[in-house]
Amino acid sequence: MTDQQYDAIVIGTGISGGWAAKELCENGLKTLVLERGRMIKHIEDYHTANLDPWDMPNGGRITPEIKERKFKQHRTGYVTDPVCEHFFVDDIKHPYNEVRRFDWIRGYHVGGKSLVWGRQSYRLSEIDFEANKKDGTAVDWPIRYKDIAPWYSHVEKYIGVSGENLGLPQLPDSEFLKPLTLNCAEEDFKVSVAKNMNDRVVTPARVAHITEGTKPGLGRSTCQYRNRCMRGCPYGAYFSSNSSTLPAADATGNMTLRPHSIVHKIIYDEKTKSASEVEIIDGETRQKHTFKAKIIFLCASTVPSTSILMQSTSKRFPNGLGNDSGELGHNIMDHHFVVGASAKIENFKEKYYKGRKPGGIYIPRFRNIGGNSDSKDFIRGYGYQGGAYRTSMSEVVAELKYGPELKEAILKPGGWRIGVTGFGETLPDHNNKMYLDYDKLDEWGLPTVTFDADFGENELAMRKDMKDQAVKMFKSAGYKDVEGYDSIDSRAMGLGIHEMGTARMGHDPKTSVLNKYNQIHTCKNVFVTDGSFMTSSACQNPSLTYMAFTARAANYAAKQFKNGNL
Amino acid sequence: MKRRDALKNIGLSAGLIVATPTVISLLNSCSTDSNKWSPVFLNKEQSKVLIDIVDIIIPKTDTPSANEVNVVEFLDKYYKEILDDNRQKWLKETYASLLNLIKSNYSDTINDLTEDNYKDLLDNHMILNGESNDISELLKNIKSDTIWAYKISEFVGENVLAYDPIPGVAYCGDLEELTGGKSWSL
Repeated sequence: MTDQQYDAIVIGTGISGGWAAKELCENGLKTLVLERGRMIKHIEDYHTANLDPWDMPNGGRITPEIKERKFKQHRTGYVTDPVCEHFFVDDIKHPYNEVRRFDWIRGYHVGGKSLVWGRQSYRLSEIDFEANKKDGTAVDWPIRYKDIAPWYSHVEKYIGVSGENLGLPQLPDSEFLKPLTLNCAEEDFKVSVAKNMNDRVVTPARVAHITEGTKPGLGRSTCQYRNRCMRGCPYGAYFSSNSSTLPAADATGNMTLRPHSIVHKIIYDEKTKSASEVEIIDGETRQKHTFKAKIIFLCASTVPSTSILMQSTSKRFPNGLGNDSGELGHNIMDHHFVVGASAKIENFKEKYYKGRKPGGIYIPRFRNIGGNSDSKDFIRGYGYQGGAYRTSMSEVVAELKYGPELKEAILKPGGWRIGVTGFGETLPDHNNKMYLDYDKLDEWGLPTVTFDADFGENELAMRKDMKDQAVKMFKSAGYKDVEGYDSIDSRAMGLGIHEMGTARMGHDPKTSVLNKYNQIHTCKNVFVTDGSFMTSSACQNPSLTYMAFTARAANYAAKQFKNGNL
Repeated sequence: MKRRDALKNIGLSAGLIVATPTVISLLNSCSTDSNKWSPVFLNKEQSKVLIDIVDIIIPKTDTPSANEVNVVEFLDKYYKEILDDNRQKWLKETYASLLNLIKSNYSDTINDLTEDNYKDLLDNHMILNGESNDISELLKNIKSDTIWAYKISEFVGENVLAYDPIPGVAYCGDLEELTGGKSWSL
């Protein structure tokens, strides 16, 4: 097919691709944005957004057909819910292989996982960027907090993040809209932790929701507290590529968005020592196309971006584009979680809430940040997410069999419960990897991905503390029926949907794939700005960091382009 | 079913409204008519027993009974379309056992069973605390499924429970003031 020339090509339309598209287009670059899946139009394609349980067949229960087609996605237990399952892939159509179990949760459509993300938005801190160097793990991050701080601000002001500034060194302040209010039980817990534990604090979850005013995009407005975010928000209240960055890119007139474009190779030009073209297979027509550009942003999400680099072999790069170090595909990380505690709160029986908040509480990291916080058993740390709520019916229901008394009880709320789950940092380990299997091809004739990774000793040691400290907090608050948990079954990597680290940044091309501007060390017109660049995982939810690094890299690329350096 | 439109036309989906006799009678016209409806998973006798049991569990008061919101039609379809093969097999077998137990204890003719027979069945064979068995498990399942189906029915969700599809705000307040002591349906 005929070649078409662009200034830049962005591969992927999720949280990173949307930001790359916006920043490049706003800098005046003619940009082709490639998405492997179908179009999802903001509002128009959120067909379940306003459905109540009685509007869904069988009350919205997951059908055997969905479980059969999406058996790996179903490991989460929630993404196969009929209200949102259309935003997640069919595992039979998109197979992968597991030497060790890996829960690879994917959304192949315009907007990617930005439509269904958890929206928790926390900055990494100087402690995180220095960690690898200080404790001699893997390689050093090539940047420090001061390099990325202005880009965090840039992103936060644009997308809208609600939260409360605490002035903590381990969790930097952000550009916040007003925080979500804690409900009375959460407030009680906050007061108790402040009184009983002098090393930690409870704060409202920092979430990418508009809580006041508006933000740029397709008519974005304030959160209506429906908590149906995973269906797509008709108010555009939470940030997604579809409601925010892609419309901004489109408004410049510089963006060409092309769905159904499965990128399988980036062509390296030996003469110019740079990437020259991107090859795609059209997902509908099955025809191959080639597009030329001066700059390529690879934002297909961690595993697909790494796969594309691995498939992009050439004489110069026989092991995959930019893979002189042999680290491509290695060091895969995800946060480990589903460990914590829950308890019953006996007070506040006369209290209830109005509105369904899209976020609860957060307890920032308090381990290994100096002084008395240091642990002998593990390095790095974890934060907790959680919330308090009333159960949907009175506890009396369990004791009754039938009749008007039972009927009355099922219509009354039950007592308050509170729960937290830790999100722990995972160390990069060269032995944790993904690679391609050319013997098992997908329906487009492309190699499938094989995972071979698991959490290590440091993570397992950390989990003991994650459970114990959660129990301790609830007991010290005087809550009842305190139960710690550590869900071994949910312990496989991937379930956090924070897969990262397979094309890491570093100072040295011999030990890393990307430099401090997310450029491939040895092919500088290719930038990789999704989770694959992460040199360490920290314990914070990573999407905000992907956005900040993408914005920084895109503005750097645009400047280099204008100066004729790219 | 035009029930939703009918209710909307008389302004019932606007917020918290207590069901009035008019509403109940409107509702009755939409509920399962055992003469017209045929089960898709259970057999006729089993569905008749289920119809009788769900109204013992959730009887009519100033709000509708389980059958007035079509709980059995819903559950029968749910058994068929949602449950996996193992679960369906267990249900078929255990419903058959339940029918045998009912016939041997009370009456060979299902239509002759009385409310007291069913109360006796639930009193003696639904074991809430202690060692359970398949019949008890089935009866407990019927109880929990009936509660679930009742609470997510359109009428109960919009008019009996507190319904607030677009809250617009989020705060803590007094239970009585917010919902009159009821749970939110969403």
